[in-house]
Amino acid sequence: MTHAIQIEGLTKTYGDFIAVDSLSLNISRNSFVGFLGPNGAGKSTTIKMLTNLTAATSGKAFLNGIDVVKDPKTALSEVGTVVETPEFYPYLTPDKSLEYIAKLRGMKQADIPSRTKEVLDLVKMSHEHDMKIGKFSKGMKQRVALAQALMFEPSIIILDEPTSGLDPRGMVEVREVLLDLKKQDLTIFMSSHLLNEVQGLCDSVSMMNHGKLLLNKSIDELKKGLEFTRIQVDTIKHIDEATKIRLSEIPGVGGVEMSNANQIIIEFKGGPEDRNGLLKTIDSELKVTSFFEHGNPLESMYMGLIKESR
Amino acid sequence: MTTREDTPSDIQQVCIVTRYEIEKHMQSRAFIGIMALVSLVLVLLTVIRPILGLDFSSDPASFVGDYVSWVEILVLIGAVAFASGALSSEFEKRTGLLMFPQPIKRETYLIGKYLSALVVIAAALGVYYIAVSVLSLAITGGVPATIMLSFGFAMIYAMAACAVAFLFSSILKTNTASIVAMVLVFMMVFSIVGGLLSMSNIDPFFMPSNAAGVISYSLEDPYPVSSTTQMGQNMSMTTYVPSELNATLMLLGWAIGSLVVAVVAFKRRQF
Repeated sequence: MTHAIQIEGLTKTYGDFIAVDSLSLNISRNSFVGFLGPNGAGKSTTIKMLTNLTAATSGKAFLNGIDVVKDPKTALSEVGTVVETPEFYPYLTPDKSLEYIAKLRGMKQADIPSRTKEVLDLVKMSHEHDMKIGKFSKGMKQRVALAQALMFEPSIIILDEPTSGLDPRGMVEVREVLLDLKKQDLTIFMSSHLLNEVQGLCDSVSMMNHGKLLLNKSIDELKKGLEFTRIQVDTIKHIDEATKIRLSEIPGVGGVEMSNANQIIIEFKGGPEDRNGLLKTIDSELKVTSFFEHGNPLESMYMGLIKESR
Repeated sequence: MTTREDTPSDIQQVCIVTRYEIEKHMQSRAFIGIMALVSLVLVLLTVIRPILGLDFSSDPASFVGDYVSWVEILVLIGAVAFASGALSSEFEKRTGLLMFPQPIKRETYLIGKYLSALVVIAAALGVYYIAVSVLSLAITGGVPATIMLSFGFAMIYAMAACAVAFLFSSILKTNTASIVAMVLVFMMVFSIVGGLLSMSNIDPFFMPSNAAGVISYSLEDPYPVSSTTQMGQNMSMTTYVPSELNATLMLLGWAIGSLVVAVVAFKRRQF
């Protein structure tokens, strides 16, 4: 089986409500996939079915080729997870909690202390290794949760909103850890609401709404698929209405919006050469101080797809 | 990296869960609380009697019996403290989000937790029985041989009480609901129903509270028998004494039956 995660017709119903509707999705090995969708789309339910937290109504989900619906113990043996913000037993320390989980997974006693130190260093929690977790903040617990998911060097990591509840510094630190993991021989499947986070970390994106899969594409394909990119241009000279109309007539320009007298947003369609041409044209007329892609292309795609699926 | 071949067997995982759950309990406030309670009962029973000018019994079995009559309540408090929230807290406090995605079957996890609750209760009762033995030796000059038997029956009662607590914990949403259900059922429902059945001269042999009488009865030599007391002209009340075998079978029945239902409910329960 070539896919690390293979989902076939996975369905979850609560009475008449269909939370996940015949979802089929394949996640390739060594890929970092962002799982997107609005609240209530079915992302968390899908992740909970993949991680033995919720039983599927029907369908199959294979982790490393083993059906997690039928045999969760074997299927989850090489899978690390952080689902929502899990809690730890308050009276145990990070050292003890990681040791507990490592033992359940069959790690050798001799390897546990060094690996515990390694993963706690990675999530910047090594100073708190012998403190009781009950005293930790939500962010600290989330980092220990990430450490437990990495403890036994899994081949698949499933993350549900891993930066949720973290302060900005904590978010950056967790993202750094995830970027490090991306370089390793790992498959990461991560749900998130943060489109910038997904665009910065993931190779590809799966999007769902109303329990159905809307899209499953690589980030590069998504970017290519976008008709226009939004470019923000800051200038020294003031921009007037006449200049704005002139700019909108340049080939490839779909629209021009004035933010203020020295700033415009241009919707532009074209390759690097065309973009360079646009820059030269504006610079010769208005003296450009900055010229960069504005906003998140994933955001435009996301909003478009969600609107369509309503 | 660990692989699926490294994952321990179910039995090994039961031992791992039991070990770490015991460690967790030993560091909890509940454990400090039950040890404080054990000490309090011992101190009160030993100190108040001389203060009130009452003599201790010179018969070791009778002396120990005064202390052992409190064991039933200590077992129930232990079951409430260590078993009532064992499963519901996994959902209520969200520790299940950490534990259930691990490669372990829910039934394995439940059995490990159940055994750990029994071990911790055994430790508290062990301290109590040892202290009572020492006091008996010091005050009466002897210890009844049947004290070990009484301890054994107390543990069988603990098995039943913890299993019922696990059953409530597997189906009720919160720790509080589970604790309230346990207290209501054992302290009120069983007592009221048991009393009414005795007044109607029906043997409440199937009630765990009736079977738990064996903890104290086993100290007596000869073993007591059921007796009927006349209460007024047309009314009598029978004190039903369960035989050791019947009491054991009944308590084990409650333990196994409740555990089976708890396993089924816990496996079906979802986040």
